[in-house]
Amino acid sequence: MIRFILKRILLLIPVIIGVSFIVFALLEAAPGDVADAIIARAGEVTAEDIEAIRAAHNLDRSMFYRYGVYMLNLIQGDLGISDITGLSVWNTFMQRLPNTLLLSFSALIIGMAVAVPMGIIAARNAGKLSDNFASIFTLVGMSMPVFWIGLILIQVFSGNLGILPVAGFDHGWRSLILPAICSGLSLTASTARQTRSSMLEVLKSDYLRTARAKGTSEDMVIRKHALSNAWIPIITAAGSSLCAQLAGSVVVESVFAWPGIGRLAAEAVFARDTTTVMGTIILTTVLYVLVQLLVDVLYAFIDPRIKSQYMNTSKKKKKTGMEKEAAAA
Amino acid sequence: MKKNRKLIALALGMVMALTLLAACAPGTDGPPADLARPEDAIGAGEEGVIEIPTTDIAADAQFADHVTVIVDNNVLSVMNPFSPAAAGTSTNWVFTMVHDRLLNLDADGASFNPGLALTYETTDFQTFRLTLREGVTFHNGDAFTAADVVWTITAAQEYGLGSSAFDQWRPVQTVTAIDDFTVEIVLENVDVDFLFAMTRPMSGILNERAWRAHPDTGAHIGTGAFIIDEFISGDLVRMSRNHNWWNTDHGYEHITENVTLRFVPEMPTRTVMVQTGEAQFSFGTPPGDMDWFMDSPDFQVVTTTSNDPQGLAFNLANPITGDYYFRRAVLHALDREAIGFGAAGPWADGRMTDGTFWGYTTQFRNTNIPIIPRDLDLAREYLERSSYNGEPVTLTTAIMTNIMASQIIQAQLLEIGINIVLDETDSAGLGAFTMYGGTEHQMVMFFYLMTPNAGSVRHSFVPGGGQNRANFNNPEVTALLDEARVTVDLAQREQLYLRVQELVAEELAYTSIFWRRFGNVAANGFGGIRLNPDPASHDLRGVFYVVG
Repeated sequence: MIRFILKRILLLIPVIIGVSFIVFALLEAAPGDVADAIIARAGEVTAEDIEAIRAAHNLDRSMFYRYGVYMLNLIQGDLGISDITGLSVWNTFMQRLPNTLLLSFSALIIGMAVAVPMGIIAARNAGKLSDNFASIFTLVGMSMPVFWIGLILIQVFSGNLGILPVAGFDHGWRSLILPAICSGLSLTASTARQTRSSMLEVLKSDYLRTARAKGTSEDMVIRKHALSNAWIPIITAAGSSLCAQLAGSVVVESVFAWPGIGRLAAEAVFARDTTTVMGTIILTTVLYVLVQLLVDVLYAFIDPRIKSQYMNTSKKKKKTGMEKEAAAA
Repeated sequence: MKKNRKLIALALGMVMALTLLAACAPGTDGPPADLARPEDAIGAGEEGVIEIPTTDIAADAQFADHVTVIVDNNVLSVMNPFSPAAAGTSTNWVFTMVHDRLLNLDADGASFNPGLALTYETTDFQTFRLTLREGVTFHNGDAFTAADVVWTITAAQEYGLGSSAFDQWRPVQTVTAIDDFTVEIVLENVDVDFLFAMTRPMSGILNERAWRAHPDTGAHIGTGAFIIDEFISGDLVRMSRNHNWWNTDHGYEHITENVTLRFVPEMPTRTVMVQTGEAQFSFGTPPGDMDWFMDSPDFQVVTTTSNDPQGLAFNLANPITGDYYFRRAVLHALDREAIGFGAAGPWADGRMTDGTFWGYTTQFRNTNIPIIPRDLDLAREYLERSSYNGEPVTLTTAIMTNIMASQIIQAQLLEIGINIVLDETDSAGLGAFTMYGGTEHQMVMFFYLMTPNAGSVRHSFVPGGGQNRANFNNPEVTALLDEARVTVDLAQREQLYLRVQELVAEELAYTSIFWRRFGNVAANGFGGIRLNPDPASHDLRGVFYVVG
């Protein structure tokens, strides 16, 4: 198992190289570079100034050289200094990360707490009123734009009812409620749909019929036998949604003036701040991969068959290695 | 099936009910207002600094300990004047609150008052001797001396390339501390605008020890009225009152203990924050919400007209837009009033009475330059004389108001057969893509930063100017601007600038379309803000909120 986790963590290296190179190349292809962005903000610049700015940011060297320098620094744990603000990218990111994690995990908790029971109820009552209600809820939840939901929530709960703060995070946990519900709604919708379809599939299984025939209570059938087998696709969907929240919650963050990494990345793109864009995307990629790894590990805990698969793969590889040694001897 | 229909109807009904509930914003049950009425707002039609409240404050008034001000489309990204990112207007408001300058500009925009320098002496506008104020301390407790002035200027030149601070201190050749409280600054050349440069928000004096100890946050230390307690890049800055501020004769009614400036990107969010009392003042309130605020007895609407012209630039280095007849044809085809109204409704200021490309409060404005009138026959005639053959011409623009203005320009130019293709981008993209020296762009619709000081127009008219989107390079204009910078006599300087405007107008490289009025909302009881036609110079040090 540990071997599997280590292997997945090692896979981060090619992923980071690939992602960073693509992002670097895309930023290179975009009109205007860091020097242009700096000069455009300056009052009056001479040709010497422009040359100095370009030299300071290595823009007089090839893209591959600059990418190489960036990666060399990255290996040493240095994400660099923002080209535009002069602030440490790591510090800026870490200042925002807790806010994004808080928002994303709150959304996940809300989403799972609502979605799983809703999906189960819908599956157990397929075609009935509660199933239809759940279908409509998920359809609406997935169709409505997040910014619109956010504005409606603000208007109703802050503007009309006056019971929750509008934006920012000055009011402790109360500040978290609206953005978390807003983020959680689409997550709830997608996870509830996934839960329903997984449960429907499992509920038709022969082994459940056998369990019922043996007199096992319906609650026990659902909780112990059905749900444990339906968890895999549910966790997959929830994991993907969480990753999307971590990487792309810029809309919710903007509506609720929530200082997270989504807004940081968007503002850096607008400012042509290559170093911050690169740093933010690389760190978000790491988060993404770690969440996916967590999901894979959870699979193993939920389903012993998958755990044994992980173990078998490791053993098989070990054996193959021994065999090779024997053959060589 | 019937049951499903009922369910769908029920669900739709619920969604509608939720929407209706949301639509019941406070006050919408009042009489529906007319179009926004900026002319009824505080400050409408006024020039110069606007301050609220306009009525007296009761002697026993109770002030709130904390005031929150919402900042609109300028991200608070860094609080270091040596950074290129510190050019945003709202960042400059914080600099004014935190860092004191050597001199301050009077409200009339023409005379200079003591700041950290008690007096200045100059006979030739090349050598300046400043006597500094004694007994001033930085927020970290260090005493302010001449060494801080020397360090700030040299550090801006050394570390600030591309920043506004660098631009202000660039003319300095040497800066010497004569003693602890006397500084001599020698410029490379005579520069009559240098006094103005010393008053700019980004020209505040910093503390070397703090800056060296913490490069990220050391620039937060100043001698000003407020101390930065917390700064989250891109989000907010929290400040508390500096009780050791040297300026006891500040003239503000009240200085609040804690002030927060928060960047809120979404306009509807800003509106609700002011409505619910989460903020006491908001810049950039949506025009559509203004009627509600104007009709409400609990709020006051304050408007300012920006000194920066919203205008059109033609890239003279491009074969099509570099053709004089083409430019002339375009200008005869434009209906400025329709563009301004269409883009900003009544929030476009209709004070466009002449044809110069200049800030309306910028010194030496030449009001004798006529506007090129809309005349489609003449426009077609000039277009025929041009080399234009119906090919698409790109109009680059950014920010919603200018995008809307560009769409109207596109429609108006189509009337004479000019095929405009819009290139919508963001501000940074526009800045980068339409740099001086670039030949790819053709026409640009944007705003042009102009301060009350005439020297600021150089940025649009000289080669290398940060806003020279027209590739404007008229040696006569450059020579006049250079001469104006070294001309001490005001009357002579005025003549030079008047001539500059004539030459620029003759060349038709730029044209003003309209001025933008900004609508800002304050809760009743909020006051002390000084709003300047130069948006970077708004003064928030005296903001207060009366609670009882």
